Amino acid sequence: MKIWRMAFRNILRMKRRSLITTLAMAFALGIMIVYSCLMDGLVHDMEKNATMLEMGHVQIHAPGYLESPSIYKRIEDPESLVASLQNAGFHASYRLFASGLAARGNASAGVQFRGVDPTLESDTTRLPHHLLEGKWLDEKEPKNVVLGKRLAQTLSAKVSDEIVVVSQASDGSIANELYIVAGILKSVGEIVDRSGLFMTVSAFRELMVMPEGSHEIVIAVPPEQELQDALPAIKKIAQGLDVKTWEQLNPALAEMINSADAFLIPLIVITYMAIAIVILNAMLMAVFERIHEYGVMKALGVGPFSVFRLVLIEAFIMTHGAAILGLATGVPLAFYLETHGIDLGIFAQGATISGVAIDLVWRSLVSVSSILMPLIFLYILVLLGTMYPAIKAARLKPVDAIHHH
Amino acid sequence: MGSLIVRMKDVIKTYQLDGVSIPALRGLNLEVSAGEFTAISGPSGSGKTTALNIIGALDTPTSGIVEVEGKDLSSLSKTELAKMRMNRIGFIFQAYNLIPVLTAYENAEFVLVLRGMPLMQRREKVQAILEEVGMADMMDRRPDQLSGGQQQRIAIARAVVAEPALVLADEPTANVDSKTADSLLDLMEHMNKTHGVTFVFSTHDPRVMNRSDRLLVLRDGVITEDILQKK
Ligand SMILES: Nc1ncnc2c1ncn2[C@@H]1O[C@H](COP(=O)(O)OP(=O)(O)O)[C@@H](O)[C@H]1O
Ligand SMILES: [Mg+2]
Repeated sequence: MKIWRMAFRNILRMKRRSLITTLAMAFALGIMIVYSCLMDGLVHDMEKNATMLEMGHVQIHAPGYLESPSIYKRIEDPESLVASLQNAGFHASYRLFASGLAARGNASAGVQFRGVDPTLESDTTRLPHHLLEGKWLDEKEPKNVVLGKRLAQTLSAKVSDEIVVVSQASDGSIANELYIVAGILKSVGEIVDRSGLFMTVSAFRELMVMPEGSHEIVIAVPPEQELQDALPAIKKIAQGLDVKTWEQLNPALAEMINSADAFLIPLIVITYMAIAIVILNAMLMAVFERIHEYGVMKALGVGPFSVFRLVLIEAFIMTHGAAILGLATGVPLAFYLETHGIDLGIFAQGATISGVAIDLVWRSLVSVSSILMPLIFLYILVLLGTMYPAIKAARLKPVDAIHHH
Repeated sequence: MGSLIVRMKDVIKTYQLDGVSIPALRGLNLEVSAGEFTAISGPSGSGKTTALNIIGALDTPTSGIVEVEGKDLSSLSKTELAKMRMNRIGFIFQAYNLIPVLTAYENAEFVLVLRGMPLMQRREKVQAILEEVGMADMMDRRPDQLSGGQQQRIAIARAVVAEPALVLADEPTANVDSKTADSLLDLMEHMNKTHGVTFVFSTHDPRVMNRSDRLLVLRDGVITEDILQKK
């Protein structure tokens, strides 16, 4: 087609400007692809950390427990509840909580005892694999405990150190015991980091004189299932109990994760505005330089629409080039960051957002939409940026244009 | 004389420039028949360019009637006017006005492409016309690789290749030396005599005026003389 050939030659005529315009578009596209994949990765990681690390997707408590926790507000028979949940296809683990004091040498700290079933917890959350040092609890070693990261620092406790705990048991007696630190967790979240002291369920029951019941059941919904779809089944099993999703449990975090896309908007706007200006400028210059030429073409009988098309095709040839270049650099980079990530460890020792730890390696998450959206956006922008010069060229009056020098 | 190609009746054109009215044509009456080789002469500013632009539907008159091949131009839409230029009118400009990104061959071919003529037919016609204007050996050059006279030869080829009813040429020889001007006029005359193409061209060069069959003298936007010349 003739019009394509003309458009091509017009582009080659101003090699430098065309190259700069194309490179600017390619750069913007590449950046936007990488950035949106990184944002998706961040959201995905936060969601995974928020849920899989400790919180689970859904938690069950006795009515009123969350509003004012008390050792006496219990879920009766958590073992059979967990079994029912497992039968329904969920991963579930029950937990027992109480507060007290822990001491080692001269150091002491307020702690939250957390009785967990080591095996069920392993099946449900990633907590057992989130160790900084040492090992996770073992039913066969009831004297072993695992500490939150900052709690261990406060107590200057290392693996194999002994610590003493004191509390008031559920029957009112003084609970008093000696434990061995088996492991120390990496950063999990504010509360666990500062005060979490994990022990086996049986150790907890003995310490607190609480032979049955639990305070919390944490549930993980298998990845192939949507949380909202799973909820009714869970509620049915946990009738009469307080069932809450992680979004209800930590609304601030849920809000942040859901609105993470909003971070993207200012950057998108700024980047693309800059690109729109580059394109508009380049196409305006191209059109103004050629007013005379368009006038001649119109005098020879080229219709307004064909002139409009010529300008648009010129812009879109450059955009195609930019798209190929931008995809060829942006997509591999996004994939590279998916496997290797950006190591934020050099900036911070550990980071939390809304009380939940985030990974120190920021990985991108490549998806079709993260690639397509910036691409579509680029094309829309080029269309918008070229519209005015193209209309201007199309509407030139041949006489004025021919006598324009 | 053949059928009527151009008819202008009481054509007035007044330009508006910064609120000032500039009269360019003040009631122009003109008829051109098929096969004519007509020159419009007159001093600079007499309205030659304006008249040609209006005949070629590049500009619209302030008032009056303009007909090309019996069609009233004021009744045609922009697209119809573009179609008419493409199919019925050839233009030759003072400043050649070839399309810079196209080769000599492609410039000559341009209007045929617009018309949607098939490739083989196009090639035949363009080859033939380039031979006729003596540019066959330079057809792959871009305009900036050609002299003014050579560019104008290509422009003539472009104007006549599609066999239009009318070729309008606004001071076609004003930018070239007199020897080149002569050869360009030879070429135009050749096209007129052998292909029967109707030419209307403007000039203020007496040597060029004398080569027309019919000489119209324009003064202050009206035709003051209409002379049939014998050579
Ligand atoms: N675009 C324009 N705007 C204002 N005045 C114009 C314009 N074009 C031509 N004129 C005026 O109209 C008159 C006729 O001009 P023109 O047709 O170009 O004459 P010629 O081609 O014979 O030199 C002149 O006075 C000129 O200044
Ligand atoms: Mg003039």
